Amino acid sequence: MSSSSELRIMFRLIRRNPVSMLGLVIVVTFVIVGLIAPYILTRPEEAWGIAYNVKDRFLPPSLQHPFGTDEYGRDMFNRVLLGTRFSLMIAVGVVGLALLIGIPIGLVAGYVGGKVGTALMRVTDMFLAFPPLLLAIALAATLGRGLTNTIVALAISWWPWYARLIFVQVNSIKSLPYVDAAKVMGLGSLTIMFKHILPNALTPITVQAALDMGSAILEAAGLSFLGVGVPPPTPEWGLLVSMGWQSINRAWWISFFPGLAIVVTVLGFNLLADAVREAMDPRLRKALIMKGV
Amino acid sequence: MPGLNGGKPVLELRNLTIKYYTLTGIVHAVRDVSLVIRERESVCLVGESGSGKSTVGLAVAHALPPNARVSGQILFRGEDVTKLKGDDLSRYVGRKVSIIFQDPTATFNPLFTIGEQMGDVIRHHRGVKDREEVRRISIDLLRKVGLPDPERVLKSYPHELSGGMLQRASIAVALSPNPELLIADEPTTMLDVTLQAQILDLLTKLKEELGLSMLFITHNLGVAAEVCDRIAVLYAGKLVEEGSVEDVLLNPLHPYTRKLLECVPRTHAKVRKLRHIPGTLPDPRHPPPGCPFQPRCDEARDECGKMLPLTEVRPGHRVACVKYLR
Repeated sequence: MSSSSELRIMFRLIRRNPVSMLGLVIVVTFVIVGLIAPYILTRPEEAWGIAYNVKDRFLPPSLQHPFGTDEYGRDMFNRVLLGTRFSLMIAVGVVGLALLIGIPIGLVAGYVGGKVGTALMRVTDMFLAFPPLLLAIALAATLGRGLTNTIVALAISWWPWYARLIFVQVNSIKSLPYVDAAKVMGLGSLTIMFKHILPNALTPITVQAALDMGSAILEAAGLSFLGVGVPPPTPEWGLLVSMGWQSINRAWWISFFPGLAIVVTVLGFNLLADAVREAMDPRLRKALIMKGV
Repeated sequence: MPGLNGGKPVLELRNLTIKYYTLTGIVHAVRDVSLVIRERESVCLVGESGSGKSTVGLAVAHALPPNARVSGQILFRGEDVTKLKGDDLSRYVGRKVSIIFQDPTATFNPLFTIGEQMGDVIRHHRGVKDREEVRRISIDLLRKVGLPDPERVLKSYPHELSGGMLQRASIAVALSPNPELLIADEPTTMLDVTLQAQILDLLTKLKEELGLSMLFITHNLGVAAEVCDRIAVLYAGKLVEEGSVEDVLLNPLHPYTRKLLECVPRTHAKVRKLRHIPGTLPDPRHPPPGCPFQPRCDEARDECGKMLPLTEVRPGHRVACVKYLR
């Protein structure tokens, strides 16, 4: 049961279910477009927002401008395409940073327990006590606008969930016989934590992280929409939606297409996360394999 | 006579008392137990569930949960190990003493191969760094515990092996630091009967070959008779009888030991029904004073509620019952 065959089984399960497959296709497309976006732009200056084309402003979707143009006459298709890259950076950055903070805290709190554990988890609870979006808004407003600041603000409001999740897992795993066995064999705490506990505690957090990629994009868009996220003229999706807001009566497409991109991407991550969860649940998996995958 | 073989004591429990602090009160798991295990000797702790037998094993292996408090002494080669800390502790735990658990399917981490997990222990305790050397030692150990295809076992994940194979592998892991004392906590309970006999034979053989001492924990008197030199019977955390296998099984003195032996099903007995001892163990949070077995005992007298003297009836055969008080 090496991890490569694990992945293969997961892929086979996903392929059997058209809905999961749709999720996978969306996510893969999103990642690929995110990676190559800057190199496939037909109007890079307009996409980055450094060129204006005022005579072409508010053009509706056409063959030449599939998503129409905005109030400065910039091609929305190119802007949305480049926005994919920012959303990808935000998704990976927020979830990655939150995991980086949350996992060690939850792991140490769960394994060491006692006063250290209580102290760490009470700090976590303090963060959980704030409504997450409100905390993110406050942090983003304090830190100032910018991609890095947006990612940091979201990650800080995000990690407590991961810390909790890992904490709970570690607590149940640390009393399993193989952990006792490792302790009784005199293995060190670090070996036990990183080899015997952490790898076995990762399943739920993997699913949660996959799900959260979508939510991170959504929340970052929310911050940009509220004006505390990425600064203009960056073509971040949330910002594009908010830019089109004033002229929604004249040109619906300016807000519509970036909004659609957000919806589709978040949906894709949700569908994929569901598929991952199913594939990682041994009972569900067995049932699926019995049906002849 | 086993037990009087004059071997040096390896492990000596002196007035060992263990309490668990729980939300519902203090659980008196082990009360004032004294016991000696000598070189090359195997001693069985026998008792029903909740008698404290596993707690004793865990205490010796330094594996008690954090809510347990130990008083009294656990002397390993004359040194009190209850006070060990830091480096001294790591020179003892898992090196001088190792332990085999009940459920072989749960003693391995499901995410790593047997080889990786054995390797960790061998590197840690033997200071071997060389991969080939670790591999050679692992294969050697797996062969020693009677696994037919050690190379394959090394590459296997726990779920790919059967319970019997896993228990053999976990014995191999337990033996890898070259321990002096092996604690076996009901190592055959989860296995089916044919495997039980094999594992017991293996343990007996290994004990002879390697000159190990063994603390064998079981609720099964048949198993105890098979592998042990001496038997210690625990009831509600108290040592009620201790002696050689012959003494305890053929000439049981304590009423509890006798009742326990009557409960062993026999193939040629006339009685059809399985025997049992009416009543249950006393509440471990409020153990009765005196003899813990008194409420279930047919022969109880008034003095039973007051005292529980441990008397040596014959050399090497001790019993805690007022009947034998002289």
